[in-house]
Amino acid sequence: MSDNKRDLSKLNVLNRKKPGEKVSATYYILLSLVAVFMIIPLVWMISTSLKTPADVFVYPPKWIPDYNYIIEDGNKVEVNVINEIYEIEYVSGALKGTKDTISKGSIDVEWRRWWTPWDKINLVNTSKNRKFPRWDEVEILSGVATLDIVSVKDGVTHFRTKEISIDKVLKGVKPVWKNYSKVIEVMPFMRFYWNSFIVSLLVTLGQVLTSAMAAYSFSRLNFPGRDKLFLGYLATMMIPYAVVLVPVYILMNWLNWVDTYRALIIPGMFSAYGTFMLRQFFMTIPVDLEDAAKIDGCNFLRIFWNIILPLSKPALATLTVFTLLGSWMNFMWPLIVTNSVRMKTLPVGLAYFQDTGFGTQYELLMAGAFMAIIPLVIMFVFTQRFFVEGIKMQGLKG
Amino acid sequence: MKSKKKHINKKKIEVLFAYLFLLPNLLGFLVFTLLPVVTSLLLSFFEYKGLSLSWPPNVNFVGMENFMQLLGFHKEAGSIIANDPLFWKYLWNTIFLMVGIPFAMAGALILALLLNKKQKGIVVFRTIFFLPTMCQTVAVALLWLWIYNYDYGIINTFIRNLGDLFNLNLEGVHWLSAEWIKPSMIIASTWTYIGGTNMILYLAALQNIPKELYEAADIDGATSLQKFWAVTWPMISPTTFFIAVMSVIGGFQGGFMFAYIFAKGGPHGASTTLMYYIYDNFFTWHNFGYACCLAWFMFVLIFGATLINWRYGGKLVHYT
Repeated sequence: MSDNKRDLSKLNVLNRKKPGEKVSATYYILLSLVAVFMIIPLVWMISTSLKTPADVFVYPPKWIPDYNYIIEDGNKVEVNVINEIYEIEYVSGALKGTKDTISKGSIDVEWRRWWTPWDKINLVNTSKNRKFPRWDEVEILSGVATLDIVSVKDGVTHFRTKEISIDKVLKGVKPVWKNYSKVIEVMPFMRFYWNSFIVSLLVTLGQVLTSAMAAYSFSRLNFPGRDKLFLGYLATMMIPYAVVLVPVYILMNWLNWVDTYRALIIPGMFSAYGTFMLRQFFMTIPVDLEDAAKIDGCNFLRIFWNIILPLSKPALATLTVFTLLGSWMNFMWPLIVTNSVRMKTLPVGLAYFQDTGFGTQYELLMAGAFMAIIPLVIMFVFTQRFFVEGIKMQGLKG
Repeated sequence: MKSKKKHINKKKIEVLFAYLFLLPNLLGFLVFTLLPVVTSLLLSFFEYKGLSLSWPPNVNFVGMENFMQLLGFHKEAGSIIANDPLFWKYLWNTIFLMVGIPFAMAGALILALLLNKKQKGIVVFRTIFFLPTMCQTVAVALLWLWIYNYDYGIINTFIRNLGDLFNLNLEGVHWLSAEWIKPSMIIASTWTYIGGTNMILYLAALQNIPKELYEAADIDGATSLQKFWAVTWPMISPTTFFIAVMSVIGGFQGGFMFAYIFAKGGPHGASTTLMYYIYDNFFTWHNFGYACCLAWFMFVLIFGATLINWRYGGKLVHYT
């Protein structure tokens, strides 16, 4: 194995002119494994969000939301399977060769773990006291299902019970899209979206603008007390958010801003970190450019707007990315500062949704979670470069 | 004479303009950072309780009492007991959760190494690795709450299937029980952030390593592993250091959201972190003075840890 690798690296030296590196299949397998690991939880979220409440609590879990149906007079008729009875024959273990009947219901409660219908049934052999339970394999000879058939005729709902061979019960895919409309029905989800959107937008705009303006002042203009003031900014950057939490809340309360957009937006619009970062970047822009502009009669506002800002796109992207993500994901501050349901942002709204009796209705929770995820994910897929470059820029500074 | 006057005028305009540009940020800084920092420090020496935040506030100066309550010990029935045993428990929880940091960093580095090849479709993989970072974290926490479900969650299903495969009676793990909830939080947050900013930072660092260094190593006949330890690892050490410092700073303040969604800090305080304790003191019990005192202690911890990092970790960094 290691010899192989050495050979490959030697090959690389010889073929250096060729673009791209030679990689083994294991490399792609490894990448795919990680990708699967990242994707599976999200697939599980979507899968759960499209299930009926009954299907959520089924063991083993289903990945594809399905339903049972039979063909009656050439039509698909949806049915509920009430009971399944199997004739079986033991093919291994102490009972080998004997026949028996079992019903799925009884197995389901007691030994649902070992229940794998449709091919073979594993049963725990409890007759002997072994350290680990052994289970016998059985073969299904035949199976009968008791069905509940619900049909609506002339506005009247009819229930029928019917026995039918298990082979005749078919499975179809049926995603329950209604879960999503139900979430919107029980929770003001559109309002949460709007709150999150407007708060993130204004916080990001405000923070980038005020930080850029202050950074321009600190980096390019001379005024008395500049360096001392900047030192004051630097000193507060190490202080954790928790320290200012209580006083800022008291201030919000005193101003009567609790449960308003003002409390959600205004304290987030200023950042010492953003000012510091942009100031550092502005310092790297050559002064000659400005001098030329000054000779041409540009005032400070035009220099700031037409020279400094366009040249600082990477730094502005960094600040935008981090502010946007931080504001969109922010949980604690909106949790503290909002009381009424209609002022909650998406994350707080979701937590509220979980707390108000929907905590175990996973199909609805997952539908809500998926809806909360989707806007930023879509935005990311289309503006990837912006995000990735913004983050990279932060590392180069650090 | 005239030009000098003009010059002074220009200077005045510059100063005026500078203050004008600074004003919005400075106002925000004063009102939402500097003033609260000072108030918070003052409040930590006061007892400030009460359900209504009435004005003027109902405060009592108590001196160091909050800090004594937080950090002090007393004798009770012959044994020494902490004045606030909960605080020590929650501090331990916070530090326990930080055990996940080296694993998360190693994971981010491995992913970055995997992505640092000019291959077809690499951007697709990068997008997939980055996806969880872009997901609303509360939604991710709800998802993991469901994944960790004892009876129907996919992890326990996987464990049981694995057990069946090897004829073992594996029942699965109570992921949200007092003894398992902290590892559960570590796993969930590692999944969320492993392919995120840290991975991108590592990727940028890897791409900045000069190709000549690897070519020289190739000529010397170095194996991939030797190349990693002799070239890659020292070259990315500034990034490792940066991520480590930021992760520790974040770690002391972390754990609130997952703990809130998973179990509201439970069971029996097993997932309550310092940040959660501050939230409880502040928001649940309206114990404002004590909450400020806790926050300042957290600041001291972060400051100390960062200092230690700079002092000892900084030495390990290789600067070109």
